[in-house]
Amino acid sequence: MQHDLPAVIPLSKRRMRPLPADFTHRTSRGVFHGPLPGAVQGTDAGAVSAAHSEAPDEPAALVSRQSLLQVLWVLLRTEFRARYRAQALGIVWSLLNPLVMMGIISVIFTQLFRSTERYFPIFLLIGLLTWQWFSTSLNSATAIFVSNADIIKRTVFARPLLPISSVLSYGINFLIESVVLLAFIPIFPGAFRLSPALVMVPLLLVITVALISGITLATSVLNVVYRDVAYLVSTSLLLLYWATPVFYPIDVIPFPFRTILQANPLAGIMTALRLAIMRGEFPTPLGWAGILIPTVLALVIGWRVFRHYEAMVLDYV
Amino acid sequence: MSELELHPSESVADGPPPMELSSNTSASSEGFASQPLIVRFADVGKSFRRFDYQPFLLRNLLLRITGRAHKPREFWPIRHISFDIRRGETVGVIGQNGSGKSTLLRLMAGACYPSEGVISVRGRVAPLLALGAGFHPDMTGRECVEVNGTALGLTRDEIRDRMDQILHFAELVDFLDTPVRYYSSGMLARLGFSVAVHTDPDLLLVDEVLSVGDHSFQQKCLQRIQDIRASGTTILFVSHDAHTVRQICDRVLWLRDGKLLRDGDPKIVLDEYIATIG
Repeated sequence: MQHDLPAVIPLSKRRMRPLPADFTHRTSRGVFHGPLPGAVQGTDAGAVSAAHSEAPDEPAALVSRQSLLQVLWVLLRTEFRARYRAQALGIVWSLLNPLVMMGIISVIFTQLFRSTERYFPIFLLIGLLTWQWFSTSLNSATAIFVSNADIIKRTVFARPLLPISSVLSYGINFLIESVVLLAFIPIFPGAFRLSPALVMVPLLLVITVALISGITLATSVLNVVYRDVAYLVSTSLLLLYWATPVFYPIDVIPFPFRTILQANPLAGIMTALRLAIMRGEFPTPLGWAGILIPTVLALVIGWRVFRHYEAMVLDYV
Repeated sequence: MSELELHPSESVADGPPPMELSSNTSASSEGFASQPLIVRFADVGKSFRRFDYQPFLLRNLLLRITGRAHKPREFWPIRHISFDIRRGETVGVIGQNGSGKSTLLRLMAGACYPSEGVISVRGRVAPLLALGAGFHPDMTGRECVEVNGTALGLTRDEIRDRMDQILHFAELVDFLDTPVRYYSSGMLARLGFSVAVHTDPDLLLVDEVLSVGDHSFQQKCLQRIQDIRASGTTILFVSHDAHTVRQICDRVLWLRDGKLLRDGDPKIVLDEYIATIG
């Protein structure tokens, strides 16, 4: 390659930019911020040794001027927009899927088997929408580091944001799909109860985000090291579908098994959503325990697993 | 080849004498000695498990339980690397395939952690991204700039202000709303280069970019690199192409088999390099 190169600017003519005082020090034991030990600015340094500052373990992404919320917003918006770009019907597909399911299952359970639920279609739709959010975001967030290997490999990225943004973008889907639910109000006016318990709905959505985020923080990093995890997740979802009261009320389950189901946080969330919307009731103390304890556990364990495997992700992805 | 290794840098390759090295460094890039440090590699090594050994596979697990497994083999793409880079320097990194250039770059970008030693970097670092792969193939060029600019640490306002410049430089103004999966590899590479050089980095990491694009675009990239140098940005320039390295760089690091073989004046190091590889 022959290029006519513009003349090199002499050093004295360059506009040297000021540098921050603190370095980012990367070692096998983690990331630290602080000045270079033993080095006076602009002079040759003496001994080179491991550097530690008072604030260890600070995520590297905080060094830059951007805020994590902004990063999350950009990720969220692009993922959401790009997902529906190549489809003629776009989001209509994700509305259609639960509606068709609702139609089929409603026919089966109201005509063939008698359901005890009076407003079975609404009952079912709430379950199906929540389930669809849970399963699609778990599947896609688990694979997120493998499918975004390139950016992970080259930049200091706020890595936990990737699975979380995936969960949130499917959460937006959920909200849009919930419009269908509103369309049913004139058809089944008795199925909806305007009551103070409706404040539970946004609260439960936040809890759902926390729950799925906790689970996917763990599964997304583990999937990099063991690619089996993605398969494990989709198989578990198949099992969990039947262990979650999507199309049956939890009361129909006989007692010893019902306790097991109540430990399933998704079951708790679904039941609480239905209670709030259809009956205007708040969850029972046991219901709260079944929602909050597993969610907090998922967040704590998910975060710890994430931190433990984060460095490995960079080597394996 | 064997005579070359008799130089004092032999000790650089084998042991980690940081004192000796830093004095060597400042001698090789005279004018920069008074500039503050921006990068320091102190006895850095990176090891990977070799992928012929997969400890998690069922077969290997069984072997391990029955006690017939061999220990995981480690592979060190680079080891015992020590050098300093001062503000404003343009440092070339040369070496043949497998000499550890890319690992060095990834370590400097902070995209992986060293297994040994300390890497100290300050300021905003901009690695050139290979765009396209990753994220959503249905992202448009504009969204691609947003996501990658964000990944490089730009705020939304900064991205908005530079969007036109970035797309104009990449010569992709007509394709800004086209999904990137319809982009050619050359278009993606141009966009990647354009995003990175418009981030106002303190340290720009350039990896083999000039192998893509036609001659006039390469010329434009070189011009841009010169402008960036003038603004005091430090550049690490990884290339196989000795000619461009000679033109641009103030200093050259020569890597071989994961060791720092030479560190010094481009003329001297490159002549040796060319003589060695034939």
